[in-house]
Amino acid sequence: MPETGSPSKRPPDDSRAAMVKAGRGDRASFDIIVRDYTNMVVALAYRVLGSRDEALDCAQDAFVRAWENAARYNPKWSVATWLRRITTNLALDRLRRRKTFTYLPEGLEERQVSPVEGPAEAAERKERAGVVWELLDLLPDKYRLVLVLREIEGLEIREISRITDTQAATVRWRLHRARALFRDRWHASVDGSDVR
Amino acid sequence: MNCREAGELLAALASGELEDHESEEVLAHVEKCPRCSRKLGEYREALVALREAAADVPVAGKAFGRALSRRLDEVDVRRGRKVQPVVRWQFMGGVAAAAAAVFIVATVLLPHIGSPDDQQPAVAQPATAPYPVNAYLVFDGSSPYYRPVAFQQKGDNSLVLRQPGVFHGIPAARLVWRDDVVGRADYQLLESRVAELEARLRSIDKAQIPAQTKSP
Repeated sequence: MPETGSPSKRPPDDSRAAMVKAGRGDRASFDIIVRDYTNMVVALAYRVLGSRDEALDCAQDAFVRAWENAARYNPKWSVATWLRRITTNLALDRLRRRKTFTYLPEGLEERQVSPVEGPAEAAERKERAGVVWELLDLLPDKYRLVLVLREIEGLEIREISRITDTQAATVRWRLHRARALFRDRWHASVDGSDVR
Repeated sequence: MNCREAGELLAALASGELEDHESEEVLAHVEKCPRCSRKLGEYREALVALREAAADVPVAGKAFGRALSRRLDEVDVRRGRKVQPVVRWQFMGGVAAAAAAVFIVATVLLPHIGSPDDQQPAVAQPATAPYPVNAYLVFDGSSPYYRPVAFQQKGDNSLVLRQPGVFHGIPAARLVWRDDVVGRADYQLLESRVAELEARLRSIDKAQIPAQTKSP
């Protein structure tokens, strides 16, 4: 059973080798991949979906998909990129099928107030976060995705291009539009006006 | 540099993407232009808010690992890598939070199942209904969204996986409960059926359910 927890400091080449072995049916090697990348996959799913439960479900789906397609893994890709690609595709599918918006990420309630942050500050932070997720929900899915991958995950354009199977120029354009839209709407929400 | 040119680069500047010479050029314009200066401030504030909101991520605990392990086992079973008993799960009931994943196995489409006096095994005679017979539902109770995987018994008492994989919003085969349609195997919660299903399960002699499955 794969344990989940802090990712190990496994060199990228070791991960590729483990994934290649998994592609030959080595389940123990895939369990190592799960252990090493669960936090990354869950975080990415959460940042795209904004829902704790959906993120955990999506992360499970991503690993199941990866195991089902392990034989198709190409070691020219880093394992991280490959898993991010699977995760973002699945997360996008979920966004498209969503019937209602999620305004508040459920995980926030579990965050402990830091010693330097009082309850009032925590409440304010939570409210701001709620607005952020609401605004993200209003973005077109593909804009939301590149915004998350670039601004939160910190990925380079080339990496995003690989993950989303989109030309770099398209990624840059979507990112430009996503940033502008998000900025406009954030500013409007802070201002009190309603720009949609 | 004019406002139009600077405007194209303000977001990238706020994100730290520009080369040094590009940054200097844009900042030189921003210092002289209140409008672009305000816009740059807005980009920076929005970015801070975005990153702050996304900083709290859930942590996958041991329950996640157990549930995932079971799902990976399912994949192995479908591929015939290892044969595992179908009867191995307990249903934890209701709309469960992301906790330990459990499965239940229930029969559908066997009108005689569920009767308190019925001592028939779960795999009984073929039904005459025009629906797939002796189909089993396996529910993953770890999520509010049920994931049914239907099996069908073959004439030699082995089980064939009719619908491998999980169904999240993917229209799947219609699952039939007696003559009623339970619902599409998608995100729809089947709460009204859960209590009924649990009652039926309690009446099933699980020892009678075949212990092996075969991949299609």
